[in-house]
Amino acid sequence: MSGNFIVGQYIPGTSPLHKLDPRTKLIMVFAYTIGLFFLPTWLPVLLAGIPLGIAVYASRLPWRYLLLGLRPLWILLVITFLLHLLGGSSTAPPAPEDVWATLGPWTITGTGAATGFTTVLRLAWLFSAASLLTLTTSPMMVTHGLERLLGPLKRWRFPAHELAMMTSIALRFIPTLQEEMDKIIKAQAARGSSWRYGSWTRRAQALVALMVPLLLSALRRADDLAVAMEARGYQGGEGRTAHHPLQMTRIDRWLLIITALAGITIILWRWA
Amino acid sequence: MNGMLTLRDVHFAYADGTPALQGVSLDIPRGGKTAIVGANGAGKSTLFLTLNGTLRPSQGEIKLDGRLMTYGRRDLEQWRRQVGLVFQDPDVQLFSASVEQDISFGPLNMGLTEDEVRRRVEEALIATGTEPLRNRPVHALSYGQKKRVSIAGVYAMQPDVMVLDEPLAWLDPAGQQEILALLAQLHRAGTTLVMAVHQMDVVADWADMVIVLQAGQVIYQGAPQGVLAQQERLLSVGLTPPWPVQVFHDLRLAGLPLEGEPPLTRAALTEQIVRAWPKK
Repeated sequence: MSGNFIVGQYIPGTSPLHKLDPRTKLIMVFAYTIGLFFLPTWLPVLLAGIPLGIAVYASRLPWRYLLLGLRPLWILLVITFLLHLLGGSSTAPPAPEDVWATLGPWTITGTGAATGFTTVLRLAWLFSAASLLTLTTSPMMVTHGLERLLGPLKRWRFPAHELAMMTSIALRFIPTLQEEMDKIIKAQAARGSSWRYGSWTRRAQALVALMVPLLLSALRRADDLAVAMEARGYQGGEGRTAHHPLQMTRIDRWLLIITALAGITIILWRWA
Repeated sequence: MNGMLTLRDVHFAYADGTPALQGVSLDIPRGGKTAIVGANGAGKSTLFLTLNGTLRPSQGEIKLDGRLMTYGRRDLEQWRRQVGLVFQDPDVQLFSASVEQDISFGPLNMGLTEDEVRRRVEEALIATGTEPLRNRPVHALSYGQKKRVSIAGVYAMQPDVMVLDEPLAWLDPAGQQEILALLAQLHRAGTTLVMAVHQMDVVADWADMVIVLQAGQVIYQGAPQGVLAQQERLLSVGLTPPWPVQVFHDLRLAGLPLEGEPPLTRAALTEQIVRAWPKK
């Protein structure tokens, strides 16, 4: 179960993208996402794929991985496109020269097609950028990066360390809980229960029978882990050695400057 | 006896009212190998959690190196530095993304310098033979490997006393031997060991002090010979005597005139049989 390819799962490597400071990558993905929504029409959005392409190239990962990552999204993309295509983008009746065809109650317009295309591209770029981040950055580094980025908020009692610790624990226990679910399913199947077959009510009952022990074991695990962490001297972030100090390199700084300049350009352009 | 950890009349009950410890008094000698035995539910795991201050007894006192422990932050820090706890189920203890990170968790909590943390992690990786696993995710390890890593995580904190809750549970014989060899190595390096065990044969071979728990009370503390040879007494508290003791009693019942105390080891039993043989 956990052996399958998991969307966006970290793939260790030594590419330039892997080596970037996680903070740089986080900031860039964040800026890129915001930027995408500032771009108005399909052409600039399409061109926004260029930096993404460069990033994929720099990650030295097979393109296949990103396409695989988009696979669970494709139904959403198709539906989004169809909605825009058939529904048009405005409530006003479309200009006659814009109409491509009429199918019963639906009017297909050039504007609709363009908006649909733009939205689909935006979603695809956004998702690819995010998975590129997790593909090239270990969960631990993402957490460290987040903790450092949110660090200044500690002054206002924002629990940056706790949040980071929570995230890394959650990530660690996903496979364990999967395994546990697997075990419970098998143990129940051995006694003739299954949520895969039978009537809906039977399946629902079987599902409850699965969720209850799973939830209980997760709660028990949480309790045990808390005790075990305390036994190893954990008392929260205070007094702990700062671990893995992140180091920005010249490339990181350059990329951040470029990101900032690109952001300013987009904002100025939209303003004018 | 140079008591490293001393418990006097320690009581503890869980929130639902289940009494787990009812007046436990015991001494863990410095540099010793203490085995804690008792049936399931006798209070072993609860006792272990009180040994490093994770659970606070409702009554009684605990002394570490002769100093009465309070439950203030400073005391607890010191306490956890000196008494390391290895849990029975390594999945409870291991939670970091990689082996190396998990081992560094304790030392980081101690606020050591980064160089020192690195040095200790290296040392623990090598001492426990987990070096080749350093970058592996903890959830991908085998059960025996997880056990070693959880020991490494406590080793890196360099405690004076290491308390292990059934470190041999669910391991195959080879895995058990590996853990025992690792413990022997830690003991030679000066660590005081306390462990809960179910197999009396292991206790007979390994321990120099046995504490028997029954229903939250210490019913025996002393040399292994003093209790392990007493078949009736062990059976009455839900434990099985080491097999040489059982065979000794069986042979006597069968009419072989064996003399002296029941032997704890195979070698001692063989010797007694050889001595009794010609008389028959």
